[in-house]
Amino acid sequence: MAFSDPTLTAIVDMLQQHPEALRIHKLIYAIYHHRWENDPQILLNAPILGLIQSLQQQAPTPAALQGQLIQVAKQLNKPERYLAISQIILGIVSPLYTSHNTPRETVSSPATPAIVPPTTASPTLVPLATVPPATVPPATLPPATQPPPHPRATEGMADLDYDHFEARLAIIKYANPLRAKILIFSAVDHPFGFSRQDWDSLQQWSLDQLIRQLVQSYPMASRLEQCLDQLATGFAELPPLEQMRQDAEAIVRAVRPLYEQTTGPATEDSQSLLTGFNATVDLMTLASAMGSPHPSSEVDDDADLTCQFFVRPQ
Amino acid sequence: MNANDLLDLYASGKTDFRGQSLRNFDLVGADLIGANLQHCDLAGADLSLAYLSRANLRHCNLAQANLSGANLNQADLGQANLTDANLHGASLQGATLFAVQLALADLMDANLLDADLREAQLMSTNLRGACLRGANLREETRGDCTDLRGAILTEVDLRGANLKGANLSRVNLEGANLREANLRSTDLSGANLREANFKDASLSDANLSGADLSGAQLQIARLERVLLQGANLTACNLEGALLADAKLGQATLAQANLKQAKLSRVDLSRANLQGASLVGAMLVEAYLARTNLTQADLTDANLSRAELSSAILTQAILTGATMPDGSSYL
Repeated sequence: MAFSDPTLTAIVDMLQQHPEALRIHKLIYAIYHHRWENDPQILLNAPILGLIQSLQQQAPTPAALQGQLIQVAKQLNKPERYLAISQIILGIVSPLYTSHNTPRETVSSPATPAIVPPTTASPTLVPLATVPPATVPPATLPPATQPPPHPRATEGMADLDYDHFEARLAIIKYANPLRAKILIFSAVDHPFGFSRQDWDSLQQWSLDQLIRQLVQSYPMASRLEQCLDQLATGFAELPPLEQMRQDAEAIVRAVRPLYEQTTGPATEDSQSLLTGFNATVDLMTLASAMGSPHPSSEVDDDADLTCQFFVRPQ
Repeated sequence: MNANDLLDLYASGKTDFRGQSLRNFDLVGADLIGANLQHCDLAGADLSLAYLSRANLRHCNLAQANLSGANLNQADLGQANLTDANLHGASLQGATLFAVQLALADLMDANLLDADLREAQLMSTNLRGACLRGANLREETRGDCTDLRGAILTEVDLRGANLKGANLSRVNLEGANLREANLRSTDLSGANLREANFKDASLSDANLSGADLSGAQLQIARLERVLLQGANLTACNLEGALLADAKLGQATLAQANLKQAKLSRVDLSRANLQGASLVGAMLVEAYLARTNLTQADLTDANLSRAELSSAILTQAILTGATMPDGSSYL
């Protein structure tokens, strides 16, 4: 680590003494471990000092850190609250970057996630207050530059009997393949802006990779459905709303078997893919099937409403 | 005529635009369903997300046109020139692409279900993630074969497709779905077929010399008389595959699963079968000169009249095997 101890100590103190210290700790833990943790004992065993030290390696620029914070926060059931927590974290840890970021700003790091390119031109942070929970404006997030790893190497799907050819077929039979890609890309990365850069990014992802990323990013089917429905209404450049909605519905229908595998056909959430949004996901079953630990029964007020795993940075 | 004139005429009911020069027209999202655009010059035109289903585009010049996301279902593109065209995410379900020029075109994630691609020229075409289930790419009698040399076919879905006689030399089909596909007499020499799924596929008389099939799924596949000299079949699953009269000289089959495979009269000379499972395999009259069978499991295999004298059998398991002289190994 390159930053000085006094700076780090002061930052850790500020984080620990903050009224939202617990949520701050949880969010930082989630960024680093790629899963949500509510167990106080486990959090206690992962001191914030070590997490912050590792975090700067994982997110070597302020923009990278912001991207990761948004990526996680917007997947939670309380995105507004955790976007505010993200803002607090960014405010407190920014001295680490201002004093030691110069050589790293343009250096590629293997720990940098796909959604945040290492060559991001400006490290300037965008106020999170401008970022709505599930629909991040194109200008506020850097575009994806790299697709996820090859499907066979993608973590989290290994336990599922996932026939990606069948899922893809189910989408393209009933949806326009390009519009489906644009919708899914917008759901897993940032809303497609029709810029040259976005078209180039879209070309890097195969539909299959996007489907896998979608299911990993949205452990709750109801959130997925809600997000796609919102996105379908937001593209002035694309065909009539009704067609976009049909595309979104085709995507949801195609991935529904995956949720049925993980939650069982009788759970409310898997049913919600067809019937509505007011469902409760069976997080314990889902988390278990996706390789994440069960949520603890000793939880705070967010615990039973918070996503249990995230897209793993590449 | 400009793009607006064209669309106005179409909106007023005119559908016949044969032979028009529409070069570089901006027709993004245009509705031209069922229009007759035969012999039109649409080179460089922007037809992204256009509606062209059932349109007649025979003999059209669509070189370098942008057709990304276009709906071309059941369209007739026979003998059209689509060289270097952008068809990313286009829908071409049931479309006629007979003898079409698609060299250097981008068909990534395109829907080509049941499309007719006979005699299509697909050299160096990007078909990554495209769905070609039930598509017809077979060689026509007295016609040209479908040419896919150098095409990118990773993650492509060719389940049940007919590729008989197609030229797939050196293509990249890594991870592709070729289940139940007809690949008889195809040229797959030097192709990258790693982890491709050929279950129930027919590859009889195909040329797979020097191909990389490591980790491929070939259960119950038909591979009679296939040429596999020098091919890499490491950890390949060939359980129950039909390989009679196949040529596997110098092929690598280490750790391969050949349980119950039919290998009569197969040439495995100098092949590497180290650690392979040949349990219950039929190796009648197989040629195993200098074949490396170290630690191979030949339990209950039938080696009647096989040439085994120079094979390397160090730590091979031969329990219950029928030996070349007809005796049972105890």
